[in-house]
Amino acid sequence: MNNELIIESLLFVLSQPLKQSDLKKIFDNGNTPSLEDIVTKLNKKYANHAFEIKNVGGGYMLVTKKEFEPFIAKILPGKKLMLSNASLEVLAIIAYKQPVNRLDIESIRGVDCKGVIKNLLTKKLIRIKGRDDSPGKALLYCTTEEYLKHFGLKDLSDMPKHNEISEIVNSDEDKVNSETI
Amino acid sequence: MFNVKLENFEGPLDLLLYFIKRDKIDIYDIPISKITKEYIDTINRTKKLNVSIAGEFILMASMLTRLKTRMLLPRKEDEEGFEIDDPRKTLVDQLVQYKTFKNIANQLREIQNNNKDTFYRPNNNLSISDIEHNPTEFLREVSLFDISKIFKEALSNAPEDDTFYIERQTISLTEQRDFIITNFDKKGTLLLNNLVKQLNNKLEIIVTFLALLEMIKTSEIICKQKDIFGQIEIKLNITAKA
Repeated sequence: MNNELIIESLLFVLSQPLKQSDLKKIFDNGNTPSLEDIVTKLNKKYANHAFEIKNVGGGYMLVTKKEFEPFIAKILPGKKLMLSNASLEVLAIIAYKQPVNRLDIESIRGVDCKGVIKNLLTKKLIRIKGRDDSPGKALLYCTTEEYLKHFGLKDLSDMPKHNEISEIVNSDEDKVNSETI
Repeated sequence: MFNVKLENFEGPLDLLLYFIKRDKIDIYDIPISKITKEYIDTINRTKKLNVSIAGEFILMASMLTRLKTRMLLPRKEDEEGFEIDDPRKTLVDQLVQYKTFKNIANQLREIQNNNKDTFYRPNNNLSISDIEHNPTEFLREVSLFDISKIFKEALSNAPEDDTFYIERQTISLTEQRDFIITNFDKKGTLLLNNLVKQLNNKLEIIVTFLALLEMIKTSEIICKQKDIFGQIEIKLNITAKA
């Protein structure tokens, strides 16, 4: 059987990212093909299709191409989850500082985050990783595969880079005028 | 002047960043006095509209006011005449850090928007772990959060045990009588105050007092009080013993 077709069938069936490590379960030892190579081949084949394979959440998934959204939205009218500013801020902090406890998140934002964290937990965008060693053994939070899926990120390194961020901070217009007390 | 609406901000830091951006203030050299006034004015205006203000905003107002007073005090300078220990440092660090994450959040929003038009294969309740039927993988999709939720539910559904067990403390008159006797000094006297000081709870005090009365009744001891409100002195009645 053609490896390409086998992997195509897997991608068709799965609703979670297919990883290179998953292939070990399917192919005999030593005969495991490179998932990346096959995905490239398949994507070439899909040039004239409505879907393609995307590198997301540490693996590969079959997704529809963007331009078909208007049509899909008509038959699936349920809105896709769009996160609030508060949720995005908390997610940003967790994504870069994970594992992190609530107190640290709140000290960065300067506001209570209990509700937002609970909301993100139920949406499975974050999960509890364990507890830290602080007095009171605070819960530690980290992001999930669902989080990567929601943003279409390949993995955590696919996030905006730290120095990219500091560049933005420095290039901001606020260093123009300085007043003193 | 703009009408700043508090509810549009994620928190006090967000509001301060807004002022900084609007007035093109150098984040590393914030005019505390000016920004404190602006901040408190905004809060007061919101108060007039009868909107309850979250505690965080009030906390920041008090921190700013404190900072303002600290700015008035002279500070140490290093050899080149630069001030060290800028009291604003903590606030600035906090603002810069918050600003960084606010920026990331904004980028995440863009990423979210870019991704909103792609659709994944719908969930079909089958996951890769099912392929193996590995019992240890059974809980893989269950998070600690799920378990704690179920545990909490189970606890609240459990039948309540509403019986209490109260352990009765027993202190006997004879015990306290012996206790009183061991406390007399060589001369056979004891101050009531000193006796009471050694007792730990109400019951002990009551029983000891009863024992005292009993001992007075049997003439074992004699109590004396020299002045009104003075110390009460307890004496062993040697004649009675004999």
